Amino acid sequence: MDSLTPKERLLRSLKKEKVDRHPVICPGGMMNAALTEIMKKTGHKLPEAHHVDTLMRELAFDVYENTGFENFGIPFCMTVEAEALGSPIDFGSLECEPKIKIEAYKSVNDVNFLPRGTLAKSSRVAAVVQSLHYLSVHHPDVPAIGSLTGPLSTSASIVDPMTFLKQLRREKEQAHKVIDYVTDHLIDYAQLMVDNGATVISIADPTATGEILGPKMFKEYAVTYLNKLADAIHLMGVPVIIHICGEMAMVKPQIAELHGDAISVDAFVNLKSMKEEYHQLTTMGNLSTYLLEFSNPDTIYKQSKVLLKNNIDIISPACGLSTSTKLENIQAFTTAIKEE
Amino acid sequence: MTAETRETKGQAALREQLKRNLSDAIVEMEVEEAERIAKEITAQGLFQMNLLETSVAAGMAVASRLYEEGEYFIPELLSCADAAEAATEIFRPYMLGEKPAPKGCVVIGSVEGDTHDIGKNIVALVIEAGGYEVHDLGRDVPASVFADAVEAHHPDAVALASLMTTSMGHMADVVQELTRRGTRSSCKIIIGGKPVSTSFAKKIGADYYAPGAGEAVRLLDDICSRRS
Repeated sequence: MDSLTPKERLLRSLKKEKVDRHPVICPGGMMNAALTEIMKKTGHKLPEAHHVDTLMRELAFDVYENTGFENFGIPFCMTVEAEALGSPIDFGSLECEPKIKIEAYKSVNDVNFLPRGTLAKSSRVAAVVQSLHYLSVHHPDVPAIGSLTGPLSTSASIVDPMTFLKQLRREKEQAHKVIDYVTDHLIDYAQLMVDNGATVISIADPTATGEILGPKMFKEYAVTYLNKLADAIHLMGVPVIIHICGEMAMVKPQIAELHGDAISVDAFVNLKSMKEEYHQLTTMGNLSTYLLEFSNPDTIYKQSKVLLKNNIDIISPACGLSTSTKLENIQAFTTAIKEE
Repeated sequence: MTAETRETKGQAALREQLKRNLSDAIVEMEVEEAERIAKEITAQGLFQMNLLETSVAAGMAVASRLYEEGEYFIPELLSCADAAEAATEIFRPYMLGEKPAPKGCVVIGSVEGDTHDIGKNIVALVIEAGGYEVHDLGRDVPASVFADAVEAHHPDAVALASLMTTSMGHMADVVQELTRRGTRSSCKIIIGGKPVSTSFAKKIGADYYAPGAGEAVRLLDDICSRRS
């Protein structure tokens, strides 16, 4: 029988303290579990729930209740930050996540530096923060995770990404200035989340991968700004999860330099060997989202047990879930972990 | 030996030197330097059509190889492409409508629902550097737009990209749309992107799966050599 609440279990796992069993979570943001099946059942639907705090919190609760994931994860997209910093958004549909319509700026040299506090004026930031507040007050035993889009991904959502990537090489000084500016706004956003009850902050930065940047730029940009953000959140007294997408053989030593309390990785990464190599890492992951979408409950159940056998600290999907993933597949996953 | 032939020899040697310098500047991602050398080539009256192949494309081929070998990453490869483009821009007025015949024609795009296109852009770039005419339809492209492009360009292959499990299903829509319009057998379909695989290609009726840009070029070379 469980002797810890989900919140205690997750917080203890993040501190590498002893727990009764492994937590199984889905942090929200890029990695959210707002499946179409759940939304059709409950009527709390996207894209409306991207805007309205009452709908957002109800959907987060529906996800928690239906999937078996032991947390609330908010928001359900990665566009809140970029929208507040000037990029127009296409909010998608029930099935399709919101996307950037067009980046606000063509180049890092065009960026209009908005003053600190800009994010607090965004209605969607308000919806996120109010949802977190409500859920944390009404369900104090369940961790409410606030999800952030990382510094490089947010920067590449306000500046044309192809130009941005080139400018990381050719216009280093201005590129640093823009990413630093974005990071400051992310710190403000995290502060609002923490002030309103977020238990943990999760950062996903899919543009900051070893595959895209290579080890040198990963260190120069991704590690620098993810750590600036994580350090600031630690000063707020809250632990940080950092999710890194893609294959990372190339940047393994740099991953070990990240200041996240847990490092969440994609399905291609062998977490078992990573754990052996870097003992200090708290590992999170990494059941294939492909498996979760296209496989069946039996196979998923067995694969989930492999994660337990490998003693991955915090169990979660490996990356963003497809909205068409069947609920019974997710339930097979969470059940397998909770039965431990 | 006459003065004139000596001058020609000197010019040839200079052209050879500038050709190598331009290729190196592209590999070294030096956009301004590539532009400067291209200007020197045209100002000295040394431009020849084959420079596009032996200098610009050759530089990009080295860049593509370094990318495949994990020496270069996306920012580097994009910068090489910028240098190649800067040189080509200078050469353009001297091309006089001539163009080296491409090895084949490819229509490429990220399928509907997918707004990621960094990977697709890289593949398009490497394919173009590999000597192909490329029609890039962009991101979030509906099946009907792919089918229209097939009718307009008669490509040897259609390359479909998807980075998300949510959008990979739309790859099948493209196959079906081409079948419906009776153009499916006119070209090969190659799919690529993180969530897809050879078995997925088979499942949706595509011809090939390419795990990376280099593999896509090798597949195209194979497709086009068999055609001819």
